[in-house]
Amino acid sequence: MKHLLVLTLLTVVATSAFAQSQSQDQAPLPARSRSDEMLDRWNAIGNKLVAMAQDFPEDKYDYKLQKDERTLALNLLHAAALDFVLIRAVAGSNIGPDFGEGDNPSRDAFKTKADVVKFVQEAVADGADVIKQQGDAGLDKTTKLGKKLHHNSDIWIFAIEHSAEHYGQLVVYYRANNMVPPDSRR
Amino acid sequence: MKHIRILLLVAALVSTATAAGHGAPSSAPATPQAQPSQPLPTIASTADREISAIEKQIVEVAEAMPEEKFNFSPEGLNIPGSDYKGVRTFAVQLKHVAASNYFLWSPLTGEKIPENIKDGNGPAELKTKAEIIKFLKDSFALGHRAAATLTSENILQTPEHSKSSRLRLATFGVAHAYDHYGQMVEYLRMNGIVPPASRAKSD
Repeated sequence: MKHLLVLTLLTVVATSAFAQSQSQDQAPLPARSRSDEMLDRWNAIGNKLVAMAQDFPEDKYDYKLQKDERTLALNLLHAAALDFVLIRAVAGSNIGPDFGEGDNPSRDAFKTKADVVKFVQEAVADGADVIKQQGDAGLDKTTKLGKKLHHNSDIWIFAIEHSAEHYGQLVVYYRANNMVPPDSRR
Repeated sequence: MKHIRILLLVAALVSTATAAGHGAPSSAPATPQAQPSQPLPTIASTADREISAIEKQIVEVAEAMPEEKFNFSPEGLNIPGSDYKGVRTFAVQLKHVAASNYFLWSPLTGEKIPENIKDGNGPAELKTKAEIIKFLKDSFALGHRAAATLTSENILQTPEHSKSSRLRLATFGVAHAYDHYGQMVEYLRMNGIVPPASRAKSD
């Protein structure tokens, strides 16, 4: 993760020189929509989880660092399952495969690496489709979760943050297995 | 960790039961639970709530780690087959989150980044637990000030000294912090410490 700062600085906190030259030489870039921004962030973290699912050798899928935590596979399944729970709520339809109740699918339903990879990929793709289809107007709609209504934008942000947390946990699993996590090998 | 979802849903998705906010009218039906006495959520208040949620989680993790373990790195465990060479210590993880907060959120307020932040790992001179937690809290205080600047009119605008939108700067900072929170949770568990968010739970 030590290169994350460099990445962050390059991609997010850009130099004023770029902005100045752009403003002098080019028409301002058109403002991107909020749903475009949300889609970028959704895909960024989602694709990192997909990469993790693809990277890990199948014989390490049940690896965990400590006894009281999820295995690698269960982390990925949980992150994707919660995505599906939230996607379904926002979309108002039963998108995605059946993985039982809650957001902690059993390995019995996803026995192989290919099963897990496919599940994570579907969650990312299906969420992206909903964000695109609903656009900015969709972000401002509200969805009932439990007994409360929430803005869809809050729900998407929560899903992204939740995935980021599990990504961080799995970064430590990577290093424990002499592997370099996606953010650190760019 | 399975109950973190519940905690976060309560903390981060709390009470948007009113239909307005986010700078645009909602097409959802008005809710019977809406309470006129509560202020309507805004872009600023929503971002502030997200920052508060991760601030609470990270400060609790920082406080849970004993000071003598602040320089813990998994490298020292010599786990067979691992390669943690050069990864951040627990203390540097915290300072990295805080320094990144400054880099990401300063453009929103126009505040100058403190001179002692030379790079993404934060000031080298901060060594004690109290100093590091103060640095962390100060960075989140900036985050709250940054969130307060957000409006429905400016969130897609690019502030000076950045090429990202205000929306992205505000929200990326939170997601970035969650990434490192996830890593620090593992550091705690490697030291036999149950992360605060997972305590008093069935798992």
